Amino acid sequence: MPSLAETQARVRQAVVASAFVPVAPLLTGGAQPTARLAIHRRHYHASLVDVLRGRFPAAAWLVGDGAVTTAAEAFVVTHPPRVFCMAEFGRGFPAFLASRPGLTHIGYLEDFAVLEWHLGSVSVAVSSAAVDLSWLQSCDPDALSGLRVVFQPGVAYLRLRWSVDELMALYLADQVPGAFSLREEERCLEVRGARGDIRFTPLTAPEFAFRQALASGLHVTAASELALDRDPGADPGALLVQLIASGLVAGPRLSS
Amino acid sequence: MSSSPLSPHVFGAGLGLRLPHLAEVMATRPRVPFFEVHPESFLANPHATELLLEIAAHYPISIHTVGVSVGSAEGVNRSHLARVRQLVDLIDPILLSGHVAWSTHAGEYLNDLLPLPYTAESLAILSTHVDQVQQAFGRPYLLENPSSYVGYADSTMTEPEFLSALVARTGCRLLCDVSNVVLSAHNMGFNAHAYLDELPAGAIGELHLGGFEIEDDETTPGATVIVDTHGTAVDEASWALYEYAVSRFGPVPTLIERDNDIPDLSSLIAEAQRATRHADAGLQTTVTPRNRHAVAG
Repeated sequence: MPSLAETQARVRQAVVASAFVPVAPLLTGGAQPTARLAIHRRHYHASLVDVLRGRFPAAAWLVGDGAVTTAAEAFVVTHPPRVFCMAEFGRGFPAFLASRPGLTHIGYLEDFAVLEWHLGSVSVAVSSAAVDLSWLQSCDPDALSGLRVVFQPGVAYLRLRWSVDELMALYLADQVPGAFSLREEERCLEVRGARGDIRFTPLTAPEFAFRQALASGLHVTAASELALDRDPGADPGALLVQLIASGLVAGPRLSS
Repeated sequence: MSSSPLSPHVFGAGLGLRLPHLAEVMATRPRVPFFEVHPESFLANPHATELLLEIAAHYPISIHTVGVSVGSAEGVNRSHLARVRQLVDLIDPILLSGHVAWSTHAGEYLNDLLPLPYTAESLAILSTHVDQVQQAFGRPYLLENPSSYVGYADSTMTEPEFLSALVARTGCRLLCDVSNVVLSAHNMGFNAHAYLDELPAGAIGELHLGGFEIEDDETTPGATVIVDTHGTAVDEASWALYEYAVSRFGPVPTLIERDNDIPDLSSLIAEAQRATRHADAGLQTTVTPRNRHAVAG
């Protein structure tokens, strides 16, 4: 009699990888118990493929539902979930999708799917009250350089290689232009969302570096240095004021 | 361990609350005795959680976990348990439940409720994990009987024997999914009424009803297998067995579950009202194991 751990290992192989032979001697039920166990295999695959199709409708719009479904069917075999909430499943799917046979020539596909993933993630965030410029004015000027801030939930910073934000805007607006030209160029995007609303905005290189650094927990001085690395003419003070004015800062980070 | 009282005041049929109905429930405040949620649908969705907290201000809420894999040999995932605990603390549910099943292996979450062999080893592992979960939540945890398509040749106990032993070892309660009993009895070839008779009646804290679908059994011409889809209305066989279950277990909260092809909220409310009528009928019939065969027809 195999241990429970060994039994579960064999069932896992059947459910995920369709390897039914090792588990067959352990099972009872119906004339062919492995056919019964295949009901669990079917549920595993169908439910997870549905999750991915529901998470990447824009990618399906771009390359076709069949291509996304085929990729999803392969993905759930090679990348079983390691998360318990299905809303968090599929982070690695954009790269997988872009690497599938027949899709590798679409150089911007991964960027497009990455943007879609983040839009979905931020859309369910809940924003809190933002500080305004009067808060900044109340800060001790001597302490400002060491200031760290807390961003609103539902903010992500993406550095992409293609202008897929323009393509995503067309998808979201349900528009199909007669002709559309994507550019292979660095795109620094700020993606924001809350309670079902989403927006994404291209940032300048120093603006992106500054905000991304602060969002990652760095203090103002470190973020300023990164912005100046991207553009020696950048004005960190102005960048901080613009950030506060955009409503993205919920308050000071209380401990480093 | 502190414990929330099981709630006789919510006797009647509640509804599984799914994301498509959150806004409507908030707007219309339907007459439903309680709602039940899957925490895994809310933990990664702060907006939905915000709406759920508003609903929880007006309705009793039951939390039914699907990802707390108490049957996994590798143990319960502590970080997931901690996330669920946060929601439990926010909601203060009237009931907290999960499944006699396993879903994780080597860190993977298989998104299904997979069957356990009913052996001494499984019982020991499951009991340890149920103890851990009840300690972590600080309240009783109800365990639901599975919907079965297969069993294990090595099982040494029947399912009711296994569940009874689990109750005796851990002090947990049971969630009896009546539709699962109908389904498993059909698929595995046992008597559904006898199964209910063998459960420890005093441990039953909640009843579930859900829809299933009947498929041809490809390996046996003319035979069928019932698949637990929660994608249809409750079947007549489940309603009949539900009356018997209520007559046996008494007035405990009942839930209508629907997870796929989710209909209008009004349709589900009508189904919940039907459950209340069947429960009333069941309560007017005193049924004991001795005369169950007459009731079963």
